[in-house]
Amino acid sequence: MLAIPHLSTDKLDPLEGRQGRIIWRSRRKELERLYEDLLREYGPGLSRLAASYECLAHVREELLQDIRLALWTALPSFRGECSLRSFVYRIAHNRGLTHVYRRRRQIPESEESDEIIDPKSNPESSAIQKSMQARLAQAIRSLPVAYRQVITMALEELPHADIALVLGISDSNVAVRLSRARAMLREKLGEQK
Amino acid sequence: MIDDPEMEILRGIWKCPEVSAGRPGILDISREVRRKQFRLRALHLLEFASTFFLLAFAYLIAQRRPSTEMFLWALVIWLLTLLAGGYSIWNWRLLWTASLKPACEYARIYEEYCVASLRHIRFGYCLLAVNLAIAIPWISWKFFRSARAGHFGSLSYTISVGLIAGLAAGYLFWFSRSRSNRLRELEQLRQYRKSLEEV
Repeated sequence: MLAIPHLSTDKLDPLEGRQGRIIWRSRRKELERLYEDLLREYGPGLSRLAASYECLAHVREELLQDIRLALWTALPSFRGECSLRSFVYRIAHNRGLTHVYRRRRQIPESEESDEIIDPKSNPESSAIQKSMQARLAQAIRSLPVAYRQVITMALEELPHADIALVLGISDSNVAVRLSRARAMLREKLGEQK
Repeated sequence: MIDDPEMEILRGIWKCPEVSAGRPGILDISREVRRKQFRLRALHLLEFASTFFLLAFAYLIAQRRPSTEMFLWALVIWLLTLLAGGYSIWNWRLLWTASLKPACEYARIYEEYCVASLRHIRFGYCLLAVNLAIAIPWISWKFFRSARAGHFGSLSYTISVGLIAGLAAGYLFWFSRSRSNRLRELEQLRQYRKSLEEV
């Protein structure tokens, strides 16, 4: 877990005079370091989150860029009211929500392409893994957005309390939603067989 | 944390490192963030520049040909531009800090944004109608007044009206497309919020 000190936007505003500029620069450097740590820690999770919203690789990359930009912009406003993980996932899911509702055309399953593969890995085993992951991602994408969000956060090992904070609903509501999402996912994966 | 075999299997597939997307280097990310920020700033600057251009253009024309008619024309341009700019800022004020909110609150703000956007489009229709109601009679009146003196030929008149009609058609197309997009988003957001709230 990353240790993020309290940061406020007023600390980052350019202060008066030379000393002010030095303080502002050092704060900005501190923020950049934190941002790098944050991406190191949550980057892979964010990539998977983007895959739950977007099937086309190039569009998914654009969504990831949007998420990273939103995180960079929002980081100075983090005041520690929730865990950093909830903060990151909250911003990422909000961007995902906007992305999925802004898209005018629903992409048919036949057009989907999950080109997320590491060329350094064993080609045979990675092909199997790729196909399994693609099927899971496709099944998750076919769920209604509210259930999709719950299941992806559960797969990322977020506790119920954090999921509740990200979505703004109660813990018990998260439990109900997760159980429904799992039932739907089971059904979808069964249909694919 | 959910500890059951089914979730563990799904998690194993979901988080499989062999097929997870490669993460770009930190330097690439900062460059990409800077590029995106630059694009956003450029877009805002362009909006300001076009407003400034309209205001300056009206001022310069009114100064070059000082007459009551040109003064009135510049005044109409100034008023409509300032009105449109002010309305736009007032209308978008909702969304400035929305991404930090929980998803259910964000969806509510997003809904408000869609409603604001629809209001903006209605305002755009009205503004277009006012512009047309001013521009077409103005140009026609100018044409009939100066046609006798041969200063303002029928070709210039046709080009002017054609340009205005083309611009109006472009705006109408853009408004109707934006309207149908916003209505679709609004419907999806209402369903999303409903599905979050019901237990």
